[in-house]
Amino acid sequence: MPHTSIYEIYEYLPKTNCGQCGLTCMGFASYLLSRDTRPGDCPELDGPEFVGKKQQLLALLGNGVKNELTGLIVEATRCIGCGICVSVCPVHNANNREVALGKGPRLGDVTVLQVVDARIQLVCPELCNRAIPSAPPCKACADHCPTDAMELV
Amino acid sequence: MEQGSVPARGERLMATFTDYEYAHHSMVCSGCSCLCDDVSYYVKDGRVVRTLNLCEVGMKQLRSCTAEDRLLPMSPRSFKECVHESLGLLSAHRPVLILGPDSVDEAAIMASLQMAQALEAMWLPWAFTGMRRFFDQVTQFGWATALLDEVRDQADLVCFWGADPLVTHHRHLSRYSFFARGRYTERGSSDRNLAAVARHTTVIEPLCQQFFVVPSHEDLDLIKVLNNPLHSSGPDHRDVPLLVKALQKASYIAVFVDPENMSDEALCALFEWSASVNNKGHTRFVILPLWAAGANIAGFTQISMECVGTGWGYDFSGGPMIHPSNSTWENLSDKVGSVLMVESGSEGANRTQLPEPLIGKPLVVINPFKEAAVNAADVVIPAALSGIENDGIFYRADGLPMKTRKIRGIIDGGYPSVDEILKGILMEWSSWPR
Repeated sequence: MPHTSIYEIYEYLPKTNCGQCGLTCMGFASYLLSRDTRPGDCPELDGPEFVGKKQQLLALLGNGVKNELTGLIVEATRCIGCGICVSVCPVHNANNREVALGKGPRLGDVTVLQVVDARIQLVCPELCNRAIPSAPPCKACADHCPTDAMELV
Repeated sequence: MEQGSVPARGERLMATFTDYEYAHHSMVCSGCSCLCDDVSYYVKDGRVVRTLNLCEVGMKQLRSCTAEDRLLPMSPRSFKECVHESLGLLSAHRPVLILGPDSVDEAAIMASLQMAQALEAMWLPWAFTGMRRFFDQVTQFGWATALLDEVRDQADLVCFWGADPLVTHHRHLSRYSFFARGRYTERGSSDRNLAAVARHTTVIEPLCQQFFVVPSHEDLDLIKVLNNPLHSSGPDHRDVPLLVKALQKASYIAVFVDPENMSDEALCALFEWSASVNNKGHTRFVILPLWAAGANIAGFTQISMECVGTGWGYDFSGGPMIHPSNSTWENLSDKVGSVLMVESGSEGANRTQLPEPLIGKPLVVINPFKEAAVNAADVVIPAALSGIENDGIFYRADGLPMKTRKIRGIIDGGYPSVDEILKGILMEWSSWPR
């Protein structure tokens, strides 16, 4: 999966280490990568010489919001509603025979992810394996997403 | 994590779905020929306010109900006038070509066939040239095919040849062909090998174990080398030995093809290969067409095979079009006097105009949307969206008939269905002076 790397993000930053955000530029890049900050928090990026780079950085990071419990970022605009993430989720497969056979979960089923209005939604993050410390690390949904609409940080 | 913080089954999901008047579950989506039967619609104030398990293709069709480019419904009086005008035009310019009844329900396809018989017209779908080539091979070699559920249960090697489900049939991989778990493929994608052959890099590439970008003239070479690796020389691709090995190990091979993206020779070689593998008896090799065409293309095929003996339409004006030289739009344009274009799916909005050789012919359009063909048409009859605004039967890509239901509670504008329109024209034709 061609997920964004910290170095890729760093390339769009001013690299001056001015400290106005309280971090070095590399540190700021790591916060951007985990979606704990936004490009708008870097004052230097607002300068006229960085207008293009800021736009490119915004496009690179997308509008996805990180779910704190699972670290899953869903970029809804990239999702085509194919349901592959729903189909490969081990929680779904363990709890719902119909989902394992390819059908989408119904209302009221044990479900972490659900295709709502043709976009994937994290409907119950508490059930995700990533929210359970003792569960094996899982990234099946993001690994199989064909449009890179999901990212785990 | 505290035990108490885990919500009860579906509690959070329920919380987001209370604001509706009607809920419809297990509905069949007629957006593409996957015909997903697990879709839920939630309706409020005459509009669908939430959907579950609907992909982007289905969503596009649903949104097209209220799209700005929707044609306005007609009054009964102007409908009668339009029917009269249509018949006047079509009967004056014969033979008529009835084009594209592959996105409408079964009743409308049957009505279009009856109309073709009555008017002694040509009756063809949009994907007619590819379908003719496909069914030529079926006639020659026979056709080993299967239900998609059988593919899900048994296929351990799935190959998409010229077809990309992530472009045309978004839920195909998760519902049937790759990720879904089946009786003998209990680990889903872990029990399968996925390969794809395409003209260019496509979205499916990252999911494939083997992916080939092959120009059209190398299709045949690739099939030959896969069929007979010791005695053939094919494209020098690193994935060829891997796919050969996977083919040798496989016990059930399912190949999904879009014949419009394959050469005649390659299609012939594929059918020949399938027949030879099936004759040996150790491995099952099935071929399933995955048309980038109307949602009910399989319905058209079934009805066409049952009623007229071809899978790709018929020419009632002068016998069957058996000779390939008669079977291109260019050749047809010399013969066609006028065109009756029948559309009812959202994909119809993409077919903005007639095939180029037919442009300029007198045109009657039955369509829900405003589009280039409508602008160029002599008569336009607005129709309901099949599968959303009227009940009907659609055929899944593998030929399984499924009942689509109108979404009750939505404001549908009172459009007549394509079936009703065609029957109206037929009724008028019975009393038409000849």
